[in-house]
Amino acid sequence: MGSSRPCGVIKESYAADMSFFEKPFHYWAIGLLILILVLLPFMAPEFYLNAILLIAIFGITIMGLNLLTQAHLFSVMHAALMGIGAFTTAFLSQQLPFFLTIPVAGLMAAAVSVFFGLPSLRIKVFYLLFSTTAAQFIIEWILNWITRDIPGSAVYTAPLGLMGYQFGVLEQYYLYLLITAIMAYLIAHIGRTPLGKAMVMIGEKDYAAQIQGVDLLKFKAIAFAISGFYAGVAGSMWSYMLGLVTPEHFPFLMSWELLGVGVIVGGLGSYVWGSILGSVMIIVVTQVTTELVTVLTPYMPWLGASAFGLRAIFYGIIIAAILILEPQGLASLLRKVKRYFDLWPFSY
Amino acid sequence: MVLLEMIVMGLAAGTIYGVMALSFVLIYRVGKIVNIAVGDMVLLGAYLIFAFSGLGLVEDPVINLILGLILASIFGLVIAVGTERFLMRPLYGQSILSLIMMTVALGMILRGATIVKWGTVLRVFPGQHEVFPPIPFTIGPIEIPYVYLWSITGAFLIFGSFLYLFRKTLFGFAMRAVSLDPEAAATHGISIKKIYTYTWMIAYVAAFLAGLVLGAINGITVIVSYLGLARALPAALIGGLDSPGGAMLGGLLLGLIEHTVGTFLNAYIPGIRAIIPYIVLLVVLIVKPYGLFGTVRIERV
Repeated sequence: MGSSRPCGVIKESYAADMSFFEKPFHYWAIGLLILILVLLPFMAPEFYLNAILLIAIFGITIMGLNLLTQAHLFSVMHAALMGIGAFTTAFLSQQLPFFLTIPVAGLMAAAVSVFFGLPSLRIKVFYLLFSTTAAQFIIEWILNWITRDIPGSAVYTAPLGLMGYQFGVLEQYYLYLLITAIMAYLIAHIGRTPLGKAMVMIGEKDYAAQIQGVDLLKFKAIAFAISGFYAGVAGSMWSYMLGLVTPEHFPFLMSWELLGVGVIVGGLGSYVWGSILGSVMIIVVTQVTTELVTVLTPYMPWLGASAFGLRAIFYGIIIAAILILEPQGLASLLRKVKRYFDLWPFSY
Repeated sequence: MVLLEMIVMGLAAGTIYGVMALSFVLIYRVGKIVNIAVGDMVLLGAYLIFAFSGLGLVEDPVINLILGLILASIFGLVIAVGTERFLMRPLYGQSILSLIMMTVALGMILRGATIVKWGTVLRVFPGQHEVFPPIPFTIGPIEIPYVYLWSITGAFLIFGSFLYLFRKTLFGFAMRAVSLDPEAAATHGISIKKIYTYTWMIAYVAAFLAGLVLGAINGITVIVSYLGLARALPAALIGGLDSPGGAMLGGLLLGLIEHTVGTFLNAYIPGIRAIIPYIVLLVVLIVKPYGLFGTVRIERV
């Protein structure tokens, strides 16, 4: 968007000013990215495909969370909302096809999100962090309560398929790519609508926004609904990918990873690229830690069971480093590169 | 009589919730930092006490454990200095979200470090059965476990000494000055950095004491960190986030609710006791967000 252009870059029409892709290069870059993602299944082993699917799933959740955090509505119940989406899908998947279960899971999570988000009218900033902490544990407990009679609390999801045809790895990959693309397209455009502007205003000072005519109840509820919907859809995708869900898949810690690593490290306010970068960070750190522990265990046997702890340390260090060195997140690095090439080769 | 026992148990357990809430409230009052890492500080305390008392420096198990607590607290002072210097100081003056996320990072590092060092196996303090015998302590008709005697004594000591420090000494006066207006305090010659460092030190020591009691009740695992956070937040909130006295009262009230209402409800819905603190948290947030003794923030454009 036009706001962060350096001096010397001139837009001559309103359409050019508002256009989503500022330069031909951006079309090329997006085209190349899509081409690589589409061709990847034929080149890379399945391990990488799984990693990309996980990045897509977490990316979608973080997109919704990013929108919410932009309005300074801090939420740490998003892992639980994903859980609600996943369980809704798991229970419905035996009867309904995926194109119905995924939106229904999203709507279910949206409803729960609005329910726990409504106190945000009365409570502000970090108080909301407390109430969503409570929400996370209460939802987790409810999920455990629902599945108390099922051994291991594990609910199986029917595999993805359409009218008797079972989807393989390839179909699932393309389907998830398509869903991610649609969700990313929508969230990118939400940032440009009155809703997106209202989010920024509420984030600055919500009572000031109210004086300017922003209906707080409406916009906060919408923000929680959208965010919940994204988390629900992501949880639904997760459920189809793993084939079974248990409440332990969505712990409190994951909520903090989503908010801390996903939103803050990725880049607050950068709905698409910030979210994707944050998601990449989560998955990459997880994989690297697992690899590291596998490699190091023969030399340091005490490391064996602590991949989980090592990962937490890495996350903590990354969050701390980003907060001190680059408070706007990784997306602002991207922006800096872009800024540099705006005036390349003759910058002032 | 069962009810009386529940009330006494609740109040006894509440003292340690109050200590955790004190750790939380202190950081918030002086530094305006919402310390999400409070549960992880409690966890670290439990493990450090386990490690130091495991050295077996003294024969007597009780003195051994107390010595462990003291050594752990000294270690905690070093960690407090590191926390303030390397994590918090670069962020002073930045947005509230940055400060919160930094405490989250601190919590992740502390929790991760304990898992890497000690694993996820359930541990108990050395000499657990001698120090905290399974037979309850009896006062007339009431029976309470020995752990709660520790809890009450420890809470009384730390809370009393803190209140004396905060209300009566020059140091406490400086602390209150910084909490009121850091810049004005700085112009009067108070070193804000030192005050913040000492505040983190007191918070760590309080959290470590809570770690001793929670570790003795539940055994030492990662769960302690969630239990700590789950009790510290509602207790601090009931009293109002910036009132140390309110923190103790909030802790007592929370303990009371958990051990009476929670136990009664548990008979009908098994397992609901685990989320009673969160329900209390939600209700307090909706009914009285600034707590009983908290400062009501007046917002102006």
